[in-house]
Amino acid sequence: MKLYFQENLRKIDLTLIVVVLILVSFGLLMIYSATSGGSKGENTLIFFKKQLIAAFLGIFVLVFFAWIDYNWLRHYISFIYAFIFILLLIVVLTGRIAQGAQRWILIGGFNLQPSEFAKIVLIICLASLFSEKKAESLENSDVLRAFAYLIPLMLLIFIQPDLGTALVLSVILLSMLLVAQAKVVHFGAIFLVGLVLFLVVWQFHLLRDYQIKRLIVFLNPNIDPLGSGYNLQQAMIAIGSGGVIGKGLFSGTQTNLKFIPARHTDFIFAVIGEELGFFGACFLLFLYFLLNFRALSIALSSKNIFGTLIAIGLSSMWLFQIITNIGMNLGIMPITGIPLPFISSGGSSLLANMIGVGLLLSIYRKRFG
Amino acid sequence: MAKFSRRRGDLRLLFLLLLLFLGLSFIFSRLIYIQVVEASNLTRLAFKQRTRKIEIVARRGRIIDRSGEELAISLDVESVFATPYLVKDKDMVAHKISPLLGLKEEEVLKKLNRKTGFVYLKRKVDKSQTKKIKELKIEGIGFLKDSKRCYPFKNIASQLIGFVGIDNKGLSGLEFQFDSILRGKPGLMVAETDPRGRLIPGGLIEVSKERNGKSIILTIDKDIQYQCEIELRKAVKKYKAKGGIAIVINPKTGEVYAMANEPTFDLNFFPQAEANLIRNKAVTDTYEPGSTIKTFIGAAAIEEKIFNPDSIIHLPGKLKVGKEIIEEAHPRPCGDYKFTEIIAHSYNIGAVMIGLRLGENRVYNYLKSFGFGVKTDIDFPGEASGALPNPSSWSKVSIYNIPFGQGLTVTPIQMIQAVSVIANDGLMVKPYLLSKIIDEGGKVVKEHKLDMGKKVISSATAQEMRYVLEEVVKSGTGKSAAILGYRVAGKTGTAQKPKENGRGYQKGKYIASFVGFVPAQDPQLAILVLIDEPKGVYYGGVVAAPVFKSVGSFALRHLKIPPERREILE
Repeated sequence: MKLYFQENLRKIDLTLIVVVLILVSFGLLMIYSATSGGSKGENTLIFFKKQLIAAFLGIFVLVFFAWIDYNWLRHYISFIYAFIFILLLIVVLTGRIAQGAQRWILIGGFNLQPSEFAKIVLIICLASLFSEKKAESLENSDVLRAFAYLIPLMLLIFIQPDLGTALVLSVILLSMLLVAQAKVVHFGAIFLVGLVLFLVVWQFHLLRDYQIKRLIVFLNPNIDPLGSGYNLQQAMIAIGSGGVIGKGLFSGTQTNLKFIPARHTDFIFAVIGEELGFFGACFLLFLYFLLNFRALSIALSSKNIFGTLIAIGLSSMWLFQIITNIGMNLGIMPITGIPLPFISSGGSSLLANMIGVGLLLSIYRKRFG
Repeated sequence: MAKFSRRRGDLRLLFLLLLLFLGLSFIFSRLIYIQVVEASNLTRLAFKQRTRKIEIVARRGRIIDRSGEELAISLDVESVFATPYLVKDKDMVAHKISPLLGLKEEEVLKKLNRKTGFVYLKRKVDKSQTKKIKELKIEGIGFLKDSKRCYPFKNIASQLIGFVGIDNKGLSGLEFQFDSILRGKPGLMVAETDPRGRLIPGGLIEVSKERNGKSIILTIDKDIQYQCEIELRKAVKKYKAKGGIAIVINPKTGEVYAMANEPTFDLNFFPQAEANLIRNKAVTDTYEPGSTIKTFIGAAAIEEKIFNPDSIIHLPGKLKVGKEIIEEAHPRPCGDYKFTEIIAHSYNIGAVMIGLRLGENRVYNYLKSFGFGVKTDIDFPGEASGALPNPSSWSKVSIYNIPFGQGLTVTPIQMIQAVSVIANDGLMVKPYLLSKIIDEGGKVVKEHKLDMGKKVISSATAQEMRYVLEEVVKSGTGKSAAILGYRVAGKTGTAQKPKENGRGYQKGKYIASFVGFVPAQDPQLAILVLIDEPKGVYYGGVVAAPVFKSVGSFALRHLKIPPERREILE
């Protein structure tokens, strides 16, 4: 009995679980702090409550995906892909208009954001595709098929428009190609096509005005301090005024006075920086380091390429989001609206990430075959 | 299962790990830069951004006359403001409080609908009214301490006292002159605001407490001032004049007891007053003095021992200077006249004769030392210096004009200061208005230091001139200035008003004046009366001298200056 217990314990990546639980709780706390200081009359706890529900749901989801054998997913690739494709299509066709972008489907009082799940779906699909390859390196056909998975999802997300998530998808693809032994020629070709696409997009004004503005402002935040540059500057002012030890939880002046925009979502890092200071921010960075370290270790220890690639996909997704989001808060990345994994308010994002962690745990559990 | 090169895969994984490390360390270094290196700068920026300074009004000090009458006071009032976004039912609130504020309902509603965190609904509202509004306990309506200037005597000494603006800052007169003393120091509150500049409830921090202003006690006597204004008003009405000025001072100390301008206006409603009425012309405006200047030409001649009061001077009937003919106002035969007679009857040709004997330089120098052409430096803003031309710029006829008061301009305050020299045994003291500064508790903080005076002429000359000037009232042009029971000395003046362009004189436009002191041999009061453009009769002895008499008799009684026995017996 005792032996059985120990045997099972060995199959659980405790570090990962603890790190994720701390991250989720940390996020809940900061969302509470970011939104509770509003003026009377506003239902300010709504974000906290929603996130709390998502967190509990997330734990079930996590346990579920940890419990199943991730290898089963291979049998349902087409189904999963078709499902997310339809959801994204629904968003585009009927999605609610919010913040200049259509990103949600309203389900029972909750806004479901399919693009968050699309990232996980893409990871699974690509992992499945690349693990079936015959040669050591990827064939041209493999790369083309990978793009065949990517492009429909990316287009649907891009026209929402959600440039940030579309970017995340391409980063996932690139890093998975890298680890799945794509040839240098492939990367060269992708780079060229990307360049041409960029020029076309720029030339034909396929980007929305605000997206172009954000890029320009990123290059020079002083251009328009109360317009597009306002967000950037406010986040930096808040973080900087936090100093080394911060102003204390719930006492961030810039946060409570609503100087920080989107302070429970995109700019939640500014709240952390202001209230908990350099120490708090470093603590978060340390948690993220552990998360990705575990993900990459699991990638290395996976018994098959499918597991390795899933772990790589997840890690690259998180890493990219972490670096762009925090970078945006610190004024070294343009504003893209990419949430901070496990921390930013948003149920879909949290659930998708919990699925990812569940998958990692499953890969870890199955590493010895 | 497909083949998978563990080693190459591992290498590429390591590459990813390196990227992770690089990305995180980039962020880490940026964090250090922002939260450690730039932290203090950004903290300052953050503070600046979320705070707003609010001044707490200090109570302005009072202006008090010499006997303790309050000429200007500050009422504690409150300004009513709104924080519009906190006001729930704007229509209802506007409906309820607009009658209490005395404003139109739409006006209040408009302010309540403004997209701001702070809007004044009405400034300086009576506390009795704000109490009623407070009882309604409306969320989003607030009150700030304010202070409202009030002038209890309305139009008494208006030009002298002056007024303040809505922010309680002195704009004219003594309110302006002593603004720094009266104003005090406003307190400072720092309020935290949100990004739209809205006040955060409970976010007020007092940085410094307000310091109320000090009060000033003037040399002015409200009753004498009032009497001056009444008498001026009567004279102005009687002679349909444009206006009048009267100054009463103590010639020995320079204390100004009254400084009146007619017409006057209600200080409590100063924005409605004509701009021309606001000036205290006794200090700011100049006029050609006319015959009153003969006093100083005469004094100079006696001081220079050219003449004594009994000297005989031969006067022709008329005097021709170039194209100009100098005549007397009242024709007199050609012949010999006594010096005293010349002054008493104000003979222009006599004054010219005296002036010619003095010569250009001495005329100029004496007039200058009597204070003409120079500001008296009285503690009142906007003083004019008058124009006493330098002999080098005189024309050939100047020496024939200046001795009877043409071709130079003076201010009323200069004239009374100069006459006071005769009254004060040849010593010139500076006229002044501020007697004491007291703090809120009534303690004297500062007091006017008595001026020892500057020697202009000898006391003997001054005394001889006093006898000469007494003769003006006894037997000369100023008989109607005589006050029963007192010996009065003085000089009349009837000056034509020069044209705006300075060439020649306006026909039929005169300034009638009388300047003198009483009691003649121990002067306690010096009084100047000036009537601008009287219609019909225009002689100073007829128009201005009676005002001198009325004001003088009132002031003597009021100041309890005993009558001289000898005179009573007469």
